[in-house]
Parts: sequence; C-alpha cells; structure tokens
Amino acid sequence: MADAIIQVDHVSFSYEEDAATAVRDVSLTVPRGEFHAILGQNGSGKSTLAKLINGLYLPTEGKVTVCGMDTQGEKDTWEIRRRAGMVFQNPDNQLVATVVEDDVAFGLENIGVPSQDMPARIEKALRDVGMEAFAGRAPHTLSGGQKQRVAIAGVLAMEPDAIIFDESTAMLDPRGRREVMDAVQRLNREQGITVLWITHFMEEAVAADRVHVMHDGQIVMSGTPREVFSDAERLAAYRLDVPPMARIAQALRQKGMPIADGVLTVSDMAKEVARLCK
Amino acid sequence: MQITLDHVTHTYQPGSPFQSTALEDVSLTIRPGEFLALIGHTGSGKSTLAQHINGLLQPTSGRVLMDGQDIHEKGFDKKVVRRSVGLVFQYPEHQLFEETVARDVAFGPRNLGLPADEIDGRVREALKKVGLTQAGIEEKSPFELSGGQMRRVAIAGVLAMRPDMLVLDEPAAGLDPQSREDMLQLIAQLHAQGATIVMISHSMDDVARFATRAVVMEHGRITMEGTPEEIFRHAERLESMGLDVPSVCRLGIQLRQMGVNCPDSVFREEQAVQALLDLWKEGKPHGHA
Repeated sequence: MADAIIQVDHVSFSYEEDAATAVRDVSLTVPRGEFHAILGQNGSGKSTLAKLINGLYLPTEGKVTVCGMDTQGEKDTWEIRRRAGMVFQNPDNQLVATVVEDDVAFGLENIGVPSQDMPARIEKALRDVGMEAFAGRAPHTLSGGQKQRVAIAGVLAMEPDAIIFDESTAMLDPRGRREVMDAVQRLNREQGITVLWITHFMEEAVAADRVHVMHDGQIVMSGTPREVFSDAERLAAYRLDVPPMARIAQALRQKGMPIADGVLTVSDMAKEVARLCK
Repeated sequence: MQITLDHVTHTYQPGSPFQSTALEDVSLTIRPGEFLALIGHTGSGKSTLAQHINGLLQPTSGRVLMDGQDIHEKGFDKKVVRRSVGLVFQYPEHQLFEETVARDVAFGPRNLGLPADEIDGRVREALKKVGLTQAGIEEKSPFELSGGQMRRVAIAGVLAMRPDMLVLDEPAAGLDPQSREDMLQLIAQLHAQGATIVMISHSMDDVARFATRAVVMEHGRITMEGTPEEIFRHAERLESMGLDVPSVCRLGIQLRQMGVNCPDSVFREEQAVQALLDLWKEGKPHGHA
C-alpha cells in the first residue's frame, strides 16, 4: 500500500529471557492521516508492538515498515524514530531539561537542526499543543497533562508523519487525560498527523477510525469502534472494559427492550430511549 | 474509632514566597464503618486532607481528634493513630523495597517490635486478605510481580498493622480494567469485613458503586457532602466544577432535556436499566406539553 504510514506484516517477536512469544503473527496497516487505537490489558503485547514499530525491537519473524522504511535496516533507525515519534506513559520520565522550551529543543539538537531554525519550530510545536504560554517554565511546575503535552511538542518539533502513544494518559487525572486527548485529536484532524493510540481505556478508543484489540500477543478483533464495542461479551472475555452504555443496552435487550445495535455513547443511548419512549 | 477534623487549615511553607493554603477551615467526621469517597481535582486538597487523618501532617490551625482527643496535643501517643489508620499512598508499589514479599509486608509489624511468630501470622493474614495466596509467593521478589500484584503487596503491608480505618489515595490509578475491578472488589470486601474506608477517587462511576458518603473538595474547602444519591442529584453543579459525573447521570440529564422523564435519583447502572424499562413499559411521554 503506497500510503500506509505504518505497516506490520505477519510479525512475531519474543524476549530472549522469556520463552513465551510476546507478539504472535500480528498484521496491521495504518494509512496516512488515520487515528487507530490498540486496546489490550497489561501483558497483551501492545507495548511490545509499539516498540517494534519504533525500531526499539526488531521482529523475530515478519516485517515492520514505517513510511516505507524497513525497521531491520539500521541506517534508517533514526529517520524512522523521527517520522514516527513516540510518547510514553510516565510524564516524569520524559522531560529532561530544566526549561520547557529547552526540552522541546532537545530532539532538534540531536538531529542537527541549525540553531537559527529552532525557535520557530519550538514555538509552533508548543502552540500546536496549547503550551506556548509555558515556554519559559520549569517542567516540574506543570501538571501531568501539561507535561505530556510538552512531551508531544518535543515529538512534533521533529515534524513527524505519525505519533505512537504508549498509554500516555494512564497516569493522568481525568482533566489531564482530556487535555491530552483533545490535543492529539486536534493534531490528527487539523494537521493530518497519523496516530497510533495504545491504551486500556476503552472510552479513549471510541473516537478512533479503527480499533484493534490485542490479547495474548495477537490481534483478536479489528474494526470500527461501533463494530468492536458492540461485542460486549467478547470484550469482557479479553478482560477489557465495555462502555457503560453498551452494557446497559445489552441488559435492556435481555429484558425485551428493542435497543438498536451499536449504542456506545450517552447520546446514542438518549436518542434511542427517546425514540422508544415517546 | 472515630476521627474528626475540626476547622482544619493547612498552609504549606508559611511565610515563604511559596506559601500556599491547601486546606481551609475543613471540618469533617469520619464515622466508624462508612465508605467515604473524597472527590476533587488534583490540587483541590484531597491528599493533604488524607495525610491529616493519620497525623502525618499537622494542621496549621484547627484540631484533629481521635475519639475526642487531640492527636497533636502533648502526651498523646501518635503511634496509636498511625496504627489505627492505615494510609495507602498513590502508586504505593513504588515504595516496595525488600527482597521478598514476606519481608516487605513484615516491615511495619517488625517496627512495632512484635515477636517473630506474631509477625509471621500477620504477614500470612494480610497476604490472604489481599488475595495473594499462590504457593511460594512470600519468598518471591516483589519486583517480579505484576503491577496489580505489587500494589496488593503494598496494601498487605498496611493491613499487617491491623488498622481500623484505611485511607486510600486513588488505589485503582494506572491499573488495567481487570486489575482495577479486582482492586475495587478487594476494598469493598475489606469494608464489608468492618474496616472504615476513606477513598480518594477520580472515577465517579466507582464512587457511585461503592461509597456510602461522598465529600467534594474544591480549592481546599469542602463544597458538597452527602450520600452519592444526594451528590449526583446535583450532577450539573459537579460538571460546572469541571468534575466528571457517572455516565448514567449524564444519560439522565440528556433524557430530561429531550423531554423524557428519567428520575434524577438514578446514578447506578442497574438503577438505569430498571428506570429505562419502566419508562418504556409505561410508554407515556412526559414533559413535552
């Protein structure tokens, strides 16, 4: 596929110290500009997959290509990491400098961006995540959500095609999660940045173009959020959360109330109940 | 055992340029046997309040009373409060440090100077309470365990002190859905066995399911207090504070706006199922006269 940003083709990977295969025969294509979510419980292999895409791990079998570059080719590793940047879980482990703008500059220095070009790129990256007013602040004075947005700015300054988020909201409070989610959705919509969003919060996957469920190292479900979340029983079997409204819909159907398929959100449910009760 | 905060104010770094008031004139009694949820944004003062309950922090003004006695008064043995009120911090697994699970859980009782067989008994009892009963787990390194299991070890370490009250600061944060549910069930079970629970939580769905009473904090003050039903009746007010409300409450608000008469006392999933079935069976439209 010409415009696949991330292509994972029958990839398996196992850790040396562990006989169990961490990722088994996984195939996945993320086309340019799309927002894909990977859902799975801890130990399902989702973080291993992220590291395979980023070239931190190399597949034991199969092939990973990012923007057409094979992750096996060592010469492309830095270009792959620039074009598909990664944001991790813990906001406190990702910021290295004592001032926000220096932190965003850190990656640029590493890839040899001329210093006269840096201020404009830093400013734009911070503006894109709504953190421009914090350029001169010390990272430790920021909230968790603000720190994660600075981490995103650091990746954005590298002008990537895609960003991979590995449970980047897991340690944030609801407000921080919303801030980060909003910023990422805006980047995807307005700038066409391809997003691979790895999470165990199903509500964060509801707005994705496609959702892939990982279980025991394999992708076991793939589809639109509506397709995936309609199957409450299978999700529960994979130890994943089911959206509360999908759970209520199912209970109502069992009691004979004809709720339509695919009810996921509060407004889906409100419309459906209003239709049936008016 | 009952803890009362009596007009407690707490100021961090008073007199310095960094002075900030984290609690302002907070009065609250934690009743024996209740499951109290503390709700509020990061920075609203919840964690500061929690650390006053077991005397870890001392009020700048006001008093903390244990069964009517001021715990910061001269002559009051603070160990009594520390033993009666177990405090479980956020991400408590970050504080594990011993070589084996058993040694980590034994740390508190050993500091109490208890005899060895008493310590062993308490370790076994605490591990059983948190559901870590697999053979040989006592001798494992805590760092070989999963995140959810490590957190259980940390909680077992608190339970080994046999507290009457547990204060838990976001005990389910950062866990995957199944481990979250297991953790909440564990807390519910400890409550059912008689422990008083104070739980800081960001999840209103969890508060709706488990709490017998909830306190909402904003800018260091208590702004709302009541049963979950009383609190969630004012879902709009919670939302105006930027707090979440249970998704069932949001459904109720939307339905009422659409002219469907869903009662505002509904905040749990099973209540919603019943209320919606009733509405459907009645088949009577409401409110669009």
